[in-house]
Amino acid sequence: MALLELRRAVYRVGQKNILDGLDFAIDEGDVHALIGTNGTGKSTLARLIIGSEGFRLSSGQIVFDGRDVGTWTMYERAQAGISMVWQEPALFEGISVRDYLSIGRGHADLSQCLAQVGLNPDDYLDRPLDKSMSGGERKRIELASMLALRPRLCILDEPVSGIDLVSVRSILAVIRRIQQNGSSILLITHREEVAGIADKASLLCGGKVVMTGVPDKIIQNYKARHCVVCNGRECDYAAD
Amino acid sequence: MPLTDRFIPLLNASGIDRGILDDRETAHIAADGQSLLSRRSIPGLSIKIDENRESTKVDIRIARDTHIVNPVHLCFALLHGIGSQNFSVHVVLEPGAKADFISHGLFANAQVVKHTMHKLIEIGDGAQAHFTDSHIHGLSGGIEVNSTAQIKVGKHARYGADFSLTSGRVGWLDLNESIQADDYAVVEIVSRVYGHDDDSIKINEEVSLNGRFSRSMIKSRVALEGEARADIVGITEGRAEGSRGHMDCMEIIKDQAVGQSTPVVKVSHPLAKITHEAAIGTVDKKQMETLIAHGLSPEQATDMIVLGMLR
Repeated sequence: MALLELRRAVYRVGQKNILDGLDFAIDEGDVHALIGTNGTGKSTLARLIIGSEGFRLSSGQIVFDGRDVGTWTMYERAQAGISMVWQEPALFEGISVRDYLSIGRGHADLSQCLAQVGLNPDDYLDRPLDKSMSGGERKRIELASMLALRPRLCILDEPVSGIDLVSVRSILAVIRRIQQNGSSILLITHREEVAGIADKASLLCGGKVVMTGVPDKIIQNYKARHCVVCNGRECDYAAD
Repeated sequence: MPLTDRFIPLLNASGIDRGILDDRETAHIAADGQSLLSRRSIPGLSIKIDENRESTKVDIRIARDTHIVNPVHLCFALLHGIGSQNFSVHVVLEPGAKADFISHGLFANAQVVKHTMHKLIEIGDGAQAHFTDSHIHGLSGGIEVNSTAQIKVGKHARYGADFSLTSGRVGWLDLNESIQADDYAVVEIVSRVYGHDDDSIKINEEVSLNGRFSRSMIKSRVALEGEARADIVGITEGRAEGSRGHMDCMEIIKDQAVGQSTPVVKVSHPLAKITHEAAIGTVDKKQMETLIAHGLSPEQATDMIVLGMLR
């Protein structure tokens, strides 16, 4: 059963349709990878789903758990269970890791959440979430926050960017752990090894989802640059 | 009822342990208006006070190489809603001495109050002093705070100061600090202020890095809402070889509030270097969205960001 559906979604900026009649669905409990080259609108799609300020569909619907949430505020969507890890998470002054992980955490064990993303709680719980933290550390803490928060839908935008190569495998394990905690996951990536852990994958091109299926098949098409929408003439994906 | 008994509820309400007035190993002074309520000198630290209806003078001297273990508490209060307070405080740390000072400005009852403070602080060679100056104001906004400080920091000495006025209305604040740093001296000053309604905030902090390899950091964190106004001026001058200074001002503005930051950088030695950064604006959108996506309301997210910045 679909937890999230985008139906005939159009998002227009000026004369250009960033999303052009896109249909897309994520089943409850799945890790669903969304693949596409840079500039195809993956992060824009994430912002439309989360309800980021200034991001509303020009037409079409965003249906979450059977309700059209397209006009809902970001806060209302978060209350309904949609959360997100941005590609470059925000830094804060005067807010500790403990403060941050405590937001809406329910009964989660914060130390355990940190340990699960490979960070020693004794070293990190009282550290400020400020610019003294590296991009990789910050990204791990963001993933720990998803373990603590347990949203119904967790959007991960390029979750391994800023993560060193040897740690990518452990981050992928964390993504599985977030899923095991009960979250469905929209995994936005342009890296095939990341998409490979998903239950399903979709290929975004020319403002549409051009293909959905098992990750291996979608990745093959992605690597072959075979665009069924524009046949190599128009979209960024084909022109790459 | 002894004056100190009237003072205790004010301490308690401000979250300050009343035991600081009783502890024989903790130096302190406590004043209500121009009246001295209590004071304690300890070995190595002498306090002399010249009470005067116009301006009370306090002299604190810490003997050479003396390390004061417990923070020295300086409590300045006005128990009544109307009145004025005028103090001149002269602090001397002789070479090698070390002490932390916690200054409490307790004006929670202020309706029409004027608090004037003149500080002269001399930190001898190799000495270290840190001042935490925390003001607690009421909600009326009828308070005027005028504070000036002149600080001399000796060779290899350290001076730190952390001023905060984040509880209650600021009222009218005029804070001026001028610091002279000698060879290898280190200066770190932080001010944190939260202005509401029609509060007016003026902060002027000036550091002269006169000595070789002296260093300084001026950090300002200001949040404004309503029709509050803030004018923050940071001046750092590098006058000697290897002197390094940095100024960092951040202001978060809401409603019709207006913030202004003026960093002034002066370098008069080719091997000195001064840098600055300033950010003034509304609450950062990326921070807001991150917190909202974690379940906070926009109001809760704003509070968390602002209070974090002022922490």
